[in-house]
Amino acid sequence: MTLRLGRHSFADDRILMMAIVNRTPDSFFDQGATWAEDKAFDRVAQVVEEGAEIVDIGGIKAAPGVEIDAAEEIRRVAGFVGRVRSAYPELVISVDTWRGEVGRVVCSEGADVLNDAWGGADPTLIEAAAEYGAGIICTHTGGATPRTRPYRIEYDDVVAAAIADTVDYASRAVAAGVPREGVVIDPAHDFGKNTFHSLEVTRRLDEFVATGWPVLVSLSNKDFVGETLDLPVGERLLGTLAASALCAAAGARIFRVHQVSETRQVVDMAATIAGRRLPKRAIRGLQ
Amino acid sequence: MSGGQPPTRRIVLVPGVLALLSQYAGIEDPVADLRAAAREAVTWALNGPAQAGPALNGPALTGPAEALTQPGEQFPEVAVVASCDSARRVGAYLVESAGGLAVPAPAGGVTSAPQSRPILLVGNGSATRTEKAPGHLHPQAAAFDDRLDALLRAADHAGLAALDRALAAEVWADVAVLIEAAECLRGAELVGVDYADDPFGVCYRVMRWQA
Repeated sequence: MTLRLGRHSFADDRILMMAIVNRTPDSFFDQGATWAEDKAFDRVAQVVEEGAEIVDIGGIKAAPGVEIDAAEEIRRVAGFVGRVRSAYPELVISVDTWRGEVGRVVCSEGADVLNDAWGGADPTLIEAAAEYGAGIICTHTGGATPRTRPYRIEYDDVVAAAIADTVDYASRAVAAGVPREGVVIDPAHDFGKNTFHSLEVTRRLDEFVATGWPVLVSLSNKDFVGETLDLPVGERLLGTLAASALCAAAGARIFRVHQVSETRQVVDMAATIAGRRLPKRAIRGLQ
Repeated sequence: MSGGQPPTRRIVLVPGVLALLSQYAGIEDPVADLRAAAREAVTWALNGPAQAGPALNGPALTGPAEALTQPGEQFPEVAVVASCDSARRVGAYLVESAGGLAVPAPAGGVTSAPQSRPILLVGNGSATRTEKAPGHLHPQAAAFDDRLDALLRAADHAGLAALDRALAAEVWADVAVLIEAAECLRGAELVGVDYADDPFGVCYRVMRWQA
């Protein structure tokens, strides 16, 4: 399905890189590297240069920590969204938030997508997306409270549960007035899931693709990669790329990433092997 | 065409470059210039004098992968003359992309086809012009290609028919059709050279004649 994220449309064969830009002092991967606004702005410039079509701006780290209320979240991200909007009119701006209140403000500043990493914890987020014609990312968290870690969570069938929840969320978003072409589902690796769940979701990602909704995967340097390979954050790139390759082969459309260039190469290679992308330039043996 | 004179025949040469086929398309076209030249030349051939009598529309050369025509449709026919199946498919693809129907050369030889039917020769010079060429560098490749180029520009059918097949094989040149169908260039005049280059160490020419 052709994606339309805010004002931006992407043909069916486009695979998109969503680069993570944290406006936080404590996110797990970058540990505050882009906490300062100018550093975050430099990060945007870098990922645009590397070919990212989307930036995902977040003001609160996913893990438990100091409570950040909506006002502080808005202070962290809203003005920054406006600055990026002005500087990069062709860039898709996503904001990682679960709060409808925040969603309205960032959309008014020019955000194209609301990335609800917490699976509809605040039902008014859909309304914000609908009001501004923004896209929305519908994730599965198994009903987890925002900013909590999974604890002894089990599923009869994690893929079936994640599909049911995300498709239901997507349908509710469309019913609320969010443009259908702007609705994306995300199984949400690690969120409300142990490592075995995330591995199974990866292994069976084609089932998400088969729903017909565009699929986003957020795999980058996550704990399921670290636990699988027994590697700390900072040494998980290769594992992330292996998982990315499988998801690309299965048909994922959007990859939320820290490392844009590396992921792009792997994803393009996998998608080409799968027959969904042409080689960039082929002449060997064809002269 | 007027005054009862026989129609002129349009003849085109293109190289049998597989990268021209849609099945080998990439995001970027590594032979964009060659493709444009070949398309222009083949289109010119198709737009020649009307074919005498009803369009024959004999058996098409293409298989299902490249077939662009529908049964029963009438298209100007072009006799595609090539030395191997892949070159034949390249020729047929170019003809059909330009709106024509590729047909094989008549059993009696290419010149026994109706005079108005254009001929598309598919062949090329050496593939050993550089160290990175498919056949690596051959010291006689450049001289062979120079000789070939001169013969083609002069429409020297006798010279073409006498080309050294053994040397051609050594330098990986696909000139069998130029040797065997040289007769079609008897009395022909060069109309233009649309492409003359060796971008991958292979000698390509796109040329047009009128006979």
